[in-house]
Amino acid sequence: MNGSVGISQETVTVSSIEKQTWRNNASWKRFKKNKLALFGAFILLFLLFVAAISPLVAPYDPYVSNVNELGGYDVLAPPSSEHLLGTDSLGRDMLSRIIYGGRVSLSVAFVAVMIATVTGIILGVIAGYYGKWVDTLIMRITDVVICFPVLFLAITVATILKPSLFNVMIIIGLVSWTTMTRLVRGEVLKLREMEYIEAAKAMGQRNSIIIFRHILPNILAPIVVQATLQTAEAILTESALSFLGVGVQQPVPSWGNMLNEATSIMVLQFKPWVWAPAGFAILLTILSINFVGDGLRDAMDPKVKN
Amino acid sequence: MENLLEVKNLKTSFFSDGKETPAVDGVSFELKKGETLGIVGESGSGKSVTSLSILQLIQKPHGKIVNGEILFKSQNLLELNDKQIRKIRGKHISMIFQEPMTSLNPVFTVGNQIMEVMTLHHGVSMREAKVQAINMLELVGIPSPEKRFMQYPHQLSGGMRQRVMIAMALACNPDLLIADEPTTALDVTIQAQILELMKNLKKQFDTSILLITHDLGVVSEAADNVAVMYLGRIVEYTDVDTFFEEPKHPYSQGLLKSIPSLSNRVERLTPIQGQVPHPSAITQGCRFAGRCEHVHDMCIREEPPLMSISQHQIRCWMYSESWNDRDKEDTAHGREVAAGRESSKVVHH
Repeated sequence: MNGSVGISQETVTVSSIEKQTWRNNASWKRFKKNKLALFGAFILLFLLFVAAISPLVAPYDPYVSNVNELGGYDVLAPPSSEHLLGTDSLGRDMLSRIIYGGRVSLSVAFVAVMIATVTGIILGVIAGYYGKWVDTLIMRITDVVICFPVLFLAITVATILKPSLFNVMIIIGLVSWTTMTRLVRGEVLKLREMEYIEAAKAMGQRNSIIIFRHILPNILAPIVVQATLQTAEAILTESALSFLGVGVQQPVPSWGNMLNEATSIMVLQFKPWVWAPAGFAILLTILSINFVGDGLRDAMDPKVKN
Repeated sequence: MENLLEVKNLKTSFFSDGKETPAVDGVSFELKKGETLGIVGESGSGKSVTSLSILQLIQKPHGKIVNGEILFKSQNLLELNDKQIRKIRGKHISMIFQEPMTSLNPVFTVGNQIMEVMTLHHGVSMREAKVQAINMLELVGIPSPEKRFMQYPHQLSGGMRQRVMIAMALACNPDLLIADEPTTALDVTIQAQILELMKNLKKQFDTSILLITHDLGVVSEAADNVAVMYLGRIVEYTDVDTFFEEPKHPYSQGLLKSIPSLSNRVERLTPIQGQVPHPSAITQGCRFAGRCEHVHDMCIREEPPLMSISQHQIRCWMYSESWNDRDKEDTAHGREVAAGRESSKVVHH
């Protein structure tokens, strides 16, 4: 390639290369084909969007009990044009609480998964890459943590640390890093034997750079998939903890502690609007996340060809 | 001329369950500047372990360099710490691997990976590294290097990838290039091209090459000297012309006899009997005794030392003075014993 012709040729090739190279492009095509995953992603984005702008969309203040025209608190009011999903046992607007609760539940899940993922990646990479006694130590600790019944551990820790929004995030993160650690370790072990890792060593590259440049980018796909699926689990754990009263505390709304109202048999039987929306929100979110996770797994698996 | 690389009495072992299995045992050779040494041997002969030992890339928990010296420019590489050896790797000694399909990182463009070596060792700017990387790609015979520079490994054929590997290996203009079966995974026409390329680049850069291969054709094509390895030992060490004209060790003779020839039509090739025993099954005596057609009592009793005979260095009793005094009956006996040992080794597998 030379001269004036070269320039135009080059620009042509650049665009054609970018079109065909980006690996994720093929992944994105596969993901698009999966209608369920696409649907899940749409729902999830919608929920995230609503959570992000909840002060703007919530019709009422979720912390304030509403007063009816007779001057009393509007307690356990059924759905009406005024309160689309009714009110709870303290007269607070259910729709507003669902919207704000989504904000809380989703952020708890995301932060917890972030903690679990970062911990899992660090420990998994160290165990897998350095091997020997470090590997044994980390994997035995992982085994021990896996042996704990998650809920009981979380309840114990919550009792010691005092339940609060921040503590719930930490607790869930602390009990859920094990799966990621095992996954990452396995992937690193597999990758460590690859010739391009050996080639990088033969090139004189430092271990830290080999990990960040040659190992992590190559195991990103399973990590993303695992983190997605774990988000669903974290939402469930948060709900369970809050339902049991050791998670997010009143008056802060979360989908889990809203379900707590269903412990009253009267509410459970005759006032379904108090608990059903929260349950439905949890169901919808987890289903969406799982659809997206499965879709991502299929789309990012390099073994699947178009 | 001064030796660029001198390996003295190298012994590399692998340990499992507290048992030592030597993969390379007492190997010595030297390499001058601009020279190519071919190390030949079957699978399991220790040729790859030898090359990995030089760069100290032996897998640490199990493999260990037990003994010996590796003098590179008169500096013992085995005395260097991690940081110092990293400065040698890639910059002074670089390596090409067997599998071009897996020796490039799939998530980065080939250009990016060539630039990695350059920025690592020469500290050049990205812009400069890019220009140099494209030059390197052109040098190794990759057409439209600007385009290939931005492509990912999976978009390149095996031959192309091996060229990229060579470009990476030569990016820092190393003194020594270790090529571990560089053409094994390629088809024959590409093999010839890659060998030609390596020969030309060797002249251009004045690089010494340590060529690890099991292909005697590759050796005759590219090497100046040959070292034949068998079970962790060098059994014959000579220059390439002498080796092909007059191989001395029964193992080398066997290797050459098992190559089909275009000029002499024969009905059947003569293979070497048996198979390479597992290194853990090594006993005293010559390591090739179990498969050797000239085996004699003394071969089983004691291992021959590496002896110098005219152009050769050779590890075989046949070329010692005591060979002439051997007893004929002993030979038959020796073969029986050797055959017995061979069968027990097969069971070991």
